[in-house]
Amino acid sequence: MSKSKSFKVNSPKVLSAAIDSEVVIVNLDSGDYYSLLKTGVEVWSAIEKGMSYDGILMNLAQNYTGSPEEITATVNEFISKLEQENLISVEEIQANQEVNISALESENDANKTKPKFEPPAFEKFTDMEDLLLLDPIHEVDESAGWPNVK
Amino acid sequence: MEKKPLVTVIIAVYNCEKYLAQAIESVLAQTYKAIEIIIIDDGSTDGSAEVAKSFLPQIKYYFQENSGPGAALNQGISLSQGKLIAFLDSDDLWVADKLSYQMRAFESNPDLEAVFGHVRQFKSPELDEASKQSIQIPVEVISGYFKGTMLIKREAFERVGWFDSQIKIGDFLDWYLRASEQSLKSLMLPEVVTKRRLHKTNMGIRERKSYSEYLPILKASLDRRRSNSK
Repeated sequence: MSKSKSFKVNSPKVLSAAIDSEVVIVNLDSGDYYSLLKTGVEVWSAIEKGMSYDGILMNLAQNYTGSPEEITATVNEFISKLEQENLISVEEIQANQEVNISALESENDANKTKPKFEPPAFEKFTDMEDLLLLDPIHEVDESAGWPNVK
Repeated sequence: MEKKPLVTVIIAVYNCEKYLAQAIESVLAQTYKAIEIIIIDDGSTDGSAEVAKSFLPQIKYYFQENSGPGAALNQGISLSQGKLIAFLDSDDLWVADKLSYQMRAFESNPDLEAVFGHVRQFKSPELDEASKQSIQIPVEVISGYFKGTMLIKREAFERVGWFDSQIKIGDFLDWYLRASEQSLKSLMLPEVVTKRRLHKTNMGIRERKSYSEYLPILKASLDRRRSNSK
């Protein structure tokens, strides 16, 4: 059995929502916010679901046409950006099976109707830092229930 | 002597009998005297109305059915007569020179449209130790990009547009994003102008679930910026 990895969103400091084919993320620790587009939306959703790194690559290879090298390289770059921005953490897991992305790709050649792979799009915005950092965070558990906002 | 421009101060209140008097007193104590104070009672069911009315005739008091902070502030603006508009949350306090500092900034730079200032956050004195400890204040004094520090010229406010009355949390984030998109000319003063009270009731705003209401607001701004740059 080989090692693989999966990812975890750094909640509750990191909040996200998928709205109209875009994922908007806020990091409450930094006051920065982010936009993910194209396959970035799918990768983020897979991360949220706890899908492994191998699973993420496999899904993309199954759903898109494109060179496995390109898919792997752009996804690696995307994931390291998410990590650098402290939006996700990496967890080591045991992989149950070896994934051969190239083999998947050749199976895919039969089906030409799949869309072309477009790299995940990632954009960072720092213009609202001061405003978003103004709210102090309190550590009370949600279930403890402060009175609701008026 | 030249007449000083009138500043309208809008205080929207919803069930804040405990702190409202201090908020109003901090406005009455301003060293800049040309002010009109409008209190919009957004359907309070506690003693807020009595507290507010005890300041008549120095204030103008209006009651409305509970409609949320954006709608209450918009109502205040529609009733205001000032050339400039300022806002104070009913649980916060202004320092006595707040408006003086800001009016001076406008005098030395007439092109400015809005002046902000720093904010000092404080834990409300009546909180018990456990509650005080549950609030983290990373920095006590911080640049105050929020309503409670802003003094804005009426025409600039109208240029940006009114508060979105549909938004319950994040009304100022939405407004400020629109202001930035329209290149509002603003200045951040180094002085502390507002003291922001952290207490049990307003900490509801900081529940994690409430923060998620920021996401559609940010998304709407991203969409506007993209369509404007086309």
